[in-house]
Order: sequence, then structure tokens, then C-alpha cells
Amino acid sequence: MKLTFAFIAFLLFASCTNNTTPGTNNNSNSSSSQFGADYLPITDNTVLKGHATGSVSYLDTNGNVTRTDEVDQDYTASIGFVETKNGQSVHPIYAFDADGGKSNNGNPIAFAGTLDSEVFGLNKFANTAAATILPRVLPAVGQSWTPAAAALPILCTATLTQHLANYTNKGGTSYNDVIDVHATYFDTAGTQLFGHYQPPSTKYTADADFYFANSVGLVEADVNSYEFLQSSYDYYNGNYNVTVQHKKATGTMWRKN
Amino acid sequence: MVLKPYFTLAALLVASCANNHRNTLAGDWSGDNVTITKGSESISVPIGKHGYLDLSLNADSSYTLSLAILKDVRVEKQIFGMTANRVLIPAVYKSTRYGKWARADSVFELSSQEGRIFVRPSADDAELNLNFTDADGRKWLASLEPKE
Repeated sequence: MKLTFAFIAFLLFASCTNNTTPGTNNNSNSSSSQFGADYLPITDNTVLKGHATGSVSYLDTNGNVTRTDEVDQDYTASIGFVETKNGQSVHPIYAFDADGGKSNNGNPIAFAGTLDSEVFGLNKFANTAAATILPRVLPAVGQSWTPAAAALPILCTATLTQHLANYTNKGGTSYNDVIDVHATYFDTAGTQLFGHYQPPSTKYTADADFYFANSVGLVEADVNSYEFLQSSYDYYNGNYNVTVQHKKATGTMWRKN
Repeated sequence: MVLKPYFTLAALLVASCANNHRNTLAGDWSGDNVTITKGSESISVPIGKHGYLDLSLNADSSYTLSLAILKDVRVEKQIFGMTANRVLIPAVYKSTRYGKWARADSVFELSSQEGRIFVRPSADDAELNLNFTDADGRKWLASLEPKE
């Protein structure tokens, strides 16, 4: 099973491209920063260790669950050396499955970069407009931004819901000056597959909370809901065959280093 | 004594029932060992030491197959393109499949959207031999016995 809960977090933002443990809410943190890049520093050749728990349900065309997978495993991600994609300086993000092998056949799962204190992401192909993961100047609590306005009809919204003086993630590690970004993602755009296929109908929806600590980066991601639905038509031997993929997931990941 | 043959018959019947004979394959089964094969490479995993493999065949033709890895399955030899001393199946991982089963000749087919699982009972129905192929093209073989 190539289950990558831990990296839905990255994918969700890059593709745009409340079940959390409450921390102490303090908006008057004197040591906090106003710049997005301070909450997601991207450094060459960095290894990020995390732990993920979650479950995925696979459903048939009638909505009946045909399979469930659960994991409670350590994962690793790494930030590669800076390179140029689409004329932008970005770092490849690599994910490692729980068995230690690189995800996505050893290719990056996303790209991320910093420009004038804004943190932006690109998808794994680096062929889309950049999505703003964290804006240059953080908005006030309760305010939202659109990470990838150019990605319409994909709808992605990020909201700074909390600015905490400290926060203890689900792994038990406490961090100072943490922001909670709530993100939603909705995409009904079709994706053309190769071969004798009709364009499939696809739908992605996701709802997640991301916790970023000042000078540290992502310390926890709670995927409150994730759903993928795709129906495609394969013309084979004179018949149209319908293939439906439908899965739902929830999970959480937290940083261990 | 006229009753003696009846006592003998009754005793044989009781002994037969106690001898793990099953009139139906419906029920709960579990496996202790799994053999995973790909190409010419094969490895046997004592699944009972790492988790469990359970199969429930229900009378309404539904089934539940559960595989749980609660402790890393680590391989010491080089296999499946992996270097030696690597985790073949990391813990904690639990996967459960649901669907309908049907019998065709001597083979049960457990179908679901995730693929097909084949189950072949032994001659005395005391054991089920299960096999399926996973997404990585590895063939899984397991022998299941009635769950006590």
C-alpha cells in the first residue's frame, strides 16, 4: 500500500498549485513574526521525520466500503537542493514510504520555494502556476487567502485560524509561536489519461489544518477529510468499460525532529 | 447386546465431530504463515508472529479478510529488489477487504473492487489455501485453519 497520509499535506497545497489538540491561543505574542517564510523555512538537503496515523476507505459504485487500510507509521521526507523550474528557484520535496523507499518512483512529490518571504509550491510536475503556501505578510487571524487563483476551477482556500504562543503537537513536542492554517480544496476538473480512454470525471475534496512553527516549519497536519472520486471509460474489445475509483481518508501527521 | 452397535455408532459420530470436521466452510479462519512470491524469489513470513491474517466466510455469502502487521516484517536477505535487512512490510498496517464470495467447482472466489482472491479448500475441508496478487505483482499464498 502506498499510503502517504503524511504527505497529503504537501500535496494538498502543491496541488492547489477540528480534531486538534488545542494550544494556548495568544495573539499578542511579542516574539512572533509577520512573514510567512519564517514559519516554513526551506533549507537545502534537510531531512524531515514524522509520524502518521490514519485510515483510507475504498468504496464501490454503490458507496459500499470494499476495503479499509489503516496505518500508524513513521515517515520521512527530505528537501533537495535548489533547482530551477519554470524560471523559479525551487527545492524538490521527496517523500519516503514507511518501508524506506522513495515515493513517486523516486521523483519529487512537489516543489517548494521562497520568494521575498512568501512560500510557494508547485506540483510534482512543476508545470502549474505557483500556489501560495504562506503569503509574504501573514493575514490577521480569521482572514483567508487564495493559494492559487490561477488554478480555477480548482477552489482552494487557506485561512489563518489561530496564532498560538505555543503548541504541543500530537507527538508531544512543544513549539513556540505557531500558526494554524485551515485549508480546503475542491477540484472537479477532469484529467486526460493516456491510451484509449475517454476523459474521466474526477473530484477531489480535502479539508485540513496545518500547524507551522516559527523557525521550524510544519509541525503537524490534520487531514480532517479527503475524498477522491474518479470514473473513467475504457473502450476495449468493442465495449465501454466503466472504472470507478472512490476513496475517503482521514489522518494526522506530526513532526518528530 | 442389541444396543451395542448404536453406542458404537454414536461414539464414532461424536469422535467425527470432534475431529475438526466441518459441514460448511462458513465461519472464521486464520493463517499463521504467508508465502510471498514474485518471479523466482519467494519468502515465507510467520504472519502469526507479526500480526494476523483472518478470514470470515459468512452464510449470506459476504466475507471479511483482515491482514494486520503489528510488528515490522524485516527481511535479512536481498529480495524483491530490496537490499538486505530492510522492512518488507512496516508496522502498524491493517488492511481489511469486504465483498461477496462464490463457489465455482472446487475454488471459492472472493471478489471485490480491489481484485480477486482465490480460496481452495483441502479435500477434507479442514484447511483453506488462499492466494491473491497484490498491487506490486507479488503473489500471496496462505493456509488457513478454523479459528478456535
